[in-house]
Amino acid sequence: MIETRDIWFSYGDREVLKGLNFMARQSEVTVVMGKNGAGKTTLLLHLNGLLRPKKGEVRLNGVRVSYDKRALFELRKKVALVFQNPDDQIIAPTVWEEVAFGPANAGLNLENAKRALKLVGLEGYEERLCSQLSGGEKKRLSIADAIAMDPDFVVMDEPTAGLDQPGFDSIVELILMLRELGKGVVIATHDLELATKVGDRFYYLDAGRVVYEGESIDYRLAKRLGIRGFAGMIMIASTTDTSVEQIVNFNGDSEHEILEKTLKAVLKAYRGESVLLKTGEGFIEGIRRILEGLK
Amino acid sequence: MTESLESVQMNSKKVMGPKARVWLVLLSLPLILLDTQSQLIALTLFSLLSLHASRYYLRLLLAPAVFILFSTTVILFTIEGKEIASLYFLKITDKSVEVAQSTLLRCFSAFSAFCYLVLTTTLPEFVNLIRVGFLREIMLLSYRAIQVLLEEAESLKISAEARLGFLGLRRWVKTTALIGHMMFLRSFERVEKFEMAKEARCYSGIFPSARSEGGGKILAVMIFLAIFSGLFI
Amino acid sequence: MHIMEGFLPAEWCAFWYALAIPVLIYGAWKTKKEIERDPKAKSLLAVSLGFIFVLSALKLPSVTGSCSHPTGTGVAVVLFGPSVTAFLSSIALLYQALLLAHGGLTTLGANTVSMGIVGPFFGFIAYKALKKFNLTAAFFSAAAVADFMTYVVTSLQLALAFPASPGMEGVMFSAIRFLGIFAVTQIPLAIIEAFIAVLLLRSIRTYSPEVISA
Repeated sequence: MIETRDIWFSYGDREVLKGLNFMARQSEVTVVMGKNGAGKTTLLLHLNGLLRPKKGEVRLNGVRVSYDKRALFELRKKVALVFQNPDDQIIAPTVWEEVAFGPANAGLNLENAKRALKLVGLEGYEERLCSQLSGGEKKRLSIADAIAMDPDFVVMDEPTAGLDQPGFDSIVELILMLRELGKGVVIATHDLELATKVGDRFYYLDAGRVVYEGESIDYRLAKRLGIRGFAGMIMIASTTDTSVEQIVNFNGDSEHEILEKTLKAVLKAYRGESVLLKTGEGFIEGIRRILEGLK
Repeated sequence: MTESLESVQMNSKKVMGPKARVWLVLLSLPLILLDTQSQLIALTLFSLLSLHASRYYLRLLLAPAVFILFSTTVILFTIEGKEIASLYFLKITDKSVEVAQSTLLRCFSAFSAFCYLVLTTTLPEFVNLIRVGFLREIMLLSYRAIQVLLEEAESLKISAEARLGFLGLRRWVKTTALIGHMMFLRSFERVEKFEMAKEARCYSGIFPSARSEGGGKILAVMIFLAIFSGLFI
Repeated sequence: MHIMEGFLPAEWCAFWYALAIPVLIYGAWKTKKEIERDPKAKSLLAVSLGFIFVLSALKLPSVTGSCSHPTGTGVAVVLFGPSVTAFLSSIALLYQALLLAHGGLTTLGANTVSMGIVGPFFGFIAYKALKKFNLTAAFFSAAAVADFMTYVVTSLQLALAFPASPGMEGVMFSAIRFLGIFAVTQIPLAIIEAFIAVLLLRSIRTYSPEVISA
């Protein structure tokens, strides 16, 4: 488990983190969301010890990180960081030198590097020059860098920024695989689709503070905080979820009414509102009959 | 040119492993400088190897054209000896023709060996022969910096070109200086990024070597011996 | 101006290597000292080297035909001083050989002497001499003199290897011929690069004044 307790951090006069409490467990994907400048990246840099809080503490498995050389070395072996821009992270000119950099310095077996490349699907790329890789491949290489350290936690800053659909899909797959392997994954993102697909726990940051913490996504709050994602959501449920803006009740409606209400909900969702369809008696039956009629 | 040469280096047909390649060329070059027979053998073998490696060889041959043209002209018209032809005050002599001939043969022979290396060997493969730790690390880091900077320079150039930044010499000079300044700023941002990237992964002074397969040693030795035998013909 | 691979006879290759190597060892030794003092210097040096190379890889269009490009050493010497420039330039020259096929391996010693050591050294002297009076003129002459001296030294190197007749007189005669023919490409190059250097160094000075120490 990695956690921060009441950490404060500022760049010069600019306060970026204001008493932030955060916690992530192994075998879970913890998603940190918030708009640009909310403090996501700054938080991630604290988890790997690249930044030291001005006040408060970072704890790894309950032990307070002490920031001497030895402790930082151990922390960075356990918590590996994947930068947002792979070009900022990749420091070696060839793939093998790059992926072996971490394990070589941490005194680990270089088999780890080999396995990491295999895991991200870059086996056979060892002698390639990093500059000759595609954007998606560079991203996967930067994740392999982290995996090669055999860490307990992999911390990723905006892992899907700038990727196309296959690139996005492969990152989602990788994150889920890491969770399977028992790693804790921490992701900073403003991609709601990614958050929905992989997240187990969610934190919303706003101006350096945690404003939401929970095991489901609060779509209404996400929207208010400026987190970019789907245009809107249609949820079909019988819950009393209060985070949605529109609730459409179906109760003994005629087919015509069902059709009209549903299509209106689609339109609203398209415009960026979230809609909850509360389905009552006869809703599913009505939909079936409409579909029959269409045939 | 770097961009394309880098991809040529990745995709060319190499025949032998990087170690064998680098040593073959480094050991052959002194022989090529010394002996005419070795030059002929080396020219033949390395031209074949280079041509086999990549068609790009033919374009590389053009790169030093201006230099060869200018210098050979000077040699041809300057070195004194028995006059065999003249053009106004310029004289070509038996001696100057001889020196020009031998220089061109040596030059093309050495250049073909050099090209084989350039076409097949990436910079890290070459740098990995250097055993001085700090030097090797600086070279590998700087090569990585070059890869990123060139990519950025390329997009800046396109952006400037799209806004007519290179039209005419004056504007060209201004735009180039501007891009140079951007490169300077980006370079120094890069220092911080390198430091962070190193630190995040427990940097303790180690920079791993590229994995490079051996292979081709026998072939390399045979080629070297062929060139070496030139000394005794 | 690079001397291409294989153009110099063996004895001259050896001679120029012998001249360059002590300077480079001194540069390497100083670099090592600097790194021991401040480990961050490694990244800084690596990136400076990258910058010098990239600057020299900006291609000049049309002016001189196929393979002319700025040397970047005039700017480098103002930013980093002559001994660091010598050390970094020698590596940049190796890169130009291996990445652009400019210059060569056997001629690396000769090219280092002209482009890495002598040219920037005189550029630095010109810069030092003028900077009290007029900074723009100092920047201009740093680059122009560095390029000009490189061209002079290269011509001398060629003349020494290919003298018109044995003896000093023959060398001088050849040198004038080489200077004459390469003036066609190198003089315009030196002037254009000097203009670029002025604009570049002026904007660096405006935005990061700490880099160019007064």
